[in-house]
Amino acid sequence: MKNKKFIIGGIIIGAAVIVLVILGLKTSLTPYYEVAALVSKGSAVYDKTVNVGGEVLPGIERNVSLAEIKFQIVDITDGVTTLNVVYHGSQVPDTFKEAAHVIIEGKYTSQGIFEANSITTKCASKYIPATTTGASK
Amino acid sequence: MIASLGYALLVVALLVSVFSIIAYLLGSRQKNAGLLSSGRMGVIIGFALVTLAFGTLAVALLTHHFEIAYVAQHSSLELPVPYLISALWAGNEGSLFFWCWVLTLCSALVVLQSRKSERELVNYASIILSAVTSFFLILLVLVVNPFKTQAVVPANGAGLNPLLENPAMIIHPPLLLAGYAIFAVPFAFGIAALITRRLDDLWVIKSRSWAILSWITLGIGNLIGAWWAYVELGWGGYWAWDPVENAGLMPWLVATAFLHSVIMQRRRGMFRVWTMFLVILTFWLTIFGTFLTRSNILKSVHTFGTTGIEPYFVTMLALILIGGFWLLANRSRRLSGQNEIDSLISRDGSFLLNNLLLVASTFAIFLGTMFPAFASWFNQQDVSVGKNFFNMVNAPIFIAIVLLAGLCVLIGWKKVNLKDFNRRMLPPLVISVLIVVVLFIAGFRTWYALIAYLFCFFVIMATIWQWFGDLSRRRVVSEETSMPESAGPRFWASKNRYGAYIVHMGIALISIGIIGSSLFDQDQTAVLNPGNSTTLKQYTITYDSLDITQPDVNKMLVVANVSVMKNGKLIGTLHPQQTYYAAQDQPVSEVAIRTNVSEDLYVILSGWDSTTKTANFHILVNPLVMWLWIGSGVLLLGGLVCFWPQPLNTVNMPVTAAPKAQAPIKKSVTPAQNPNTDQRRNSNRR
Repeated sequence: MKNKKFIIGGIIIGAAVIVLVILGLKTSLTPYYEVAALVSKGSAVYDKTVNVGGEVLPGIERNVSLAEIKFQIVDITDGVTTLNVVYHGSQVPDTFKEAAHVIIEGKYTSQGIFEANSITTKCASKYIPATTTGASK
Repeated sequence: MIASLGYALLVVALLVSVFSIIAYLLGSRQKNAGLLSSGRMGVIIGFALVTLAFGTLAVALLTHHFEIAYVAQHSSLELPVPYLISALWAGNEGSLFFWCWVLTLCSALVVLQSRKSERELVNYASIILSAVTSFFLILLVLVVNPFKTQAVVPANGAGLNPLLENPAMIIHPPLLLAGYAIFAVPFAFGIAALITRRLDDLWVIKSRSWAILSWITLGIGNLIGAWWAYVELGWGGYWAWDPVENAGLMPWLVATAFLHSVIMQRRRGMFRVWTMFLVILTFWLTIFGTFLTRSNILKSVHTFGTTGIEPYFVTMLALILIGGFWLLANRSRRLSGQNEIDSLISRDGSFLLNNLLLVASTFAIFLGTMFPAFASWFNQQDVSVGKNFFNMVNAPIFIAIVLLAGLCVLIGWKKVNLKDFNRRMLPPLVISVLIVVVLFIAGFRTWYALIAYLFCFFVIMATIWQWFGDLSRRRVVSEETSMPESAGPRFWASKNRYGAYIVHMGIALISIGIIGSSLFDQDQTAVLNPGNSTTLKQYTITYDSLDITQPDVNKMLVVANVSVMKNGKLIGTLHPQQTYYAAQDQPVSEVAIRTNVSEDLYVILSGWDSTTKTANFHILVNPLVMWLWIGSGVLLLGGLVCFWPQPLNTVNMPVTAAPKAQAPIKKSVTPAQNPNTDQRRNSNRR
């Protein structure tokens, strides 16, 4: 008897949370690719929002008058496959620089250019307590 | 030399810690007082040794012993002393070391504070604590040796990442780590109670202060982290649902549930299995959190990189989970409660709901955090979970929790007289509705925010209402019960309850800040030439000039001078800037924030052209953020009130007052207002 309300309450809340979780996952799951995997997918992933992870190559071009940054990232595993990325905006983390490992959200376009919505950096073996993401809240 | 000394101290500490476990185990089995007291001695010596070892690392950092790899990687000759100290926890090895040190400190305090009557429980708790200590010492000795030397001694160390040079670096990591470590004590007492079958309230009484301390430390650690992210990292937000952040939030949420469940257990004899479940889960999450920050299981985390600690942590996590829940299942019959929940609309019911919601929210955060890892284990396609998952799932849960925080203040224990409840609920509700109506008229039209705000105001009003109600009712009671007359002692006599009320208000204030800044924020990317201006909401921001200076060889300082007009009136100048550290090739943005109680204007200099002086700005208007920080202060205050030891003169009062007071109190107040039951709950001297 004692446990009955507990169990019913638990089931109702559990069910509600599961519904929320499923709905949430449906709207916020984004595929993640390494550079090589994304490039090999080609047209299959054009204009879909995806995340791509790679390492920033030297030669970051910043065009201040357009608030634009152009750079290349290379596949971390094979070290060969590269991807051209363009980002418009002003939310670039301080840790974004050459050789930084980044995760970029955006769309791969048929021109072979990745249009970034946000740039997140990952600092290998350095303790960064909070995120330095360039995305909005 | 200093490296060998430190390492030797760690090895001896490990041996002593293992010795303690054996001495305790044998001593308990053979009822050998000598062995037991040497076990106790071992815990204290273990603390002394780890303290010495930790001190050795501090000395090595302060005196720049770059032959030690950790010192070379995390400090430099130029680093100021406070940051040299903070280098103690800046790296993987050091942070685990700090964890271990706090743990031995707590273990020693537990031994020193124990009284004869509690010895059996404390002995087993010490075994658990020594076992956890041994785990960390094994890691430090075998895998992540902080005293590891390198053959080539560099002339200077790599230094601290300039991004971390912020006062928050000195307090934020140690607070989180200490919060994790301190929770080992309630866990140890819980497991000890299960092993010794001393399943009465002793273990929760012994755990309470530790759990509160851990809760305060973790909570404030998280909030300082949020503040740090907001003022330093320059993306305009304070919480990104990064796995590292979630690792700090999850144990805090479950610890919150635990603290409420403990009250239920002590006052009503219910939730005993549940309380035990929560203590195990919280501790598991602290170890999991420690692991998550250091593992490679998640792609999108700022981690320490691969260190070889994974198998150890996975074993430890499995041990806690399997061992803990096996014990719990084994003893659950003995733990079954004495009471039942009489009505869902009661303080009991609200505690039950709050517990379920907190655990549900933790579960959702856990799932969202780990989903990419799960998906990659079962699926070819890697995925990442966006922030809106966490916001979407947690917003309704948190809003419900906030509402409960207000309701539970107003309802009594057990069955509730609905009429009485309605009468008490009405005034705060009416006031809150009025405020929301005013907001609506003033132009706030987002229904989601209005409902959330209604709840927040309700919590604050209900708490204040109840408070004044309490104090005036108390006066009537006090004539017969010799309760203290003046408000101060009366507050302290029920300080746990009032402390909790203050915490609830803090939560409501924090919620006001979070809701305001996440639903009504606006931002803009501006490309400006000197003299140009842009407008965001009622602000006009004019970019006046750019100063590029070179204060020293390693530094380049770029300062944009920006004047701000609000509704056409000049209200001040801002100086968003960026410092470029050549040695580390690291820019560090300095955000310019103009803050007041209604909103923050937040300006980041995100790019510039040194010849044309064209500059890029990211400009945000974040409403009500200051309430987040004010609420944090209130939360800390309330937590400290709960944590503060009961003054001795009020502790003894219920013994004298209770018999006389019994009858009139039953007539005059509902159980929730009964000062004597509160007293009983409070009288656990630590």
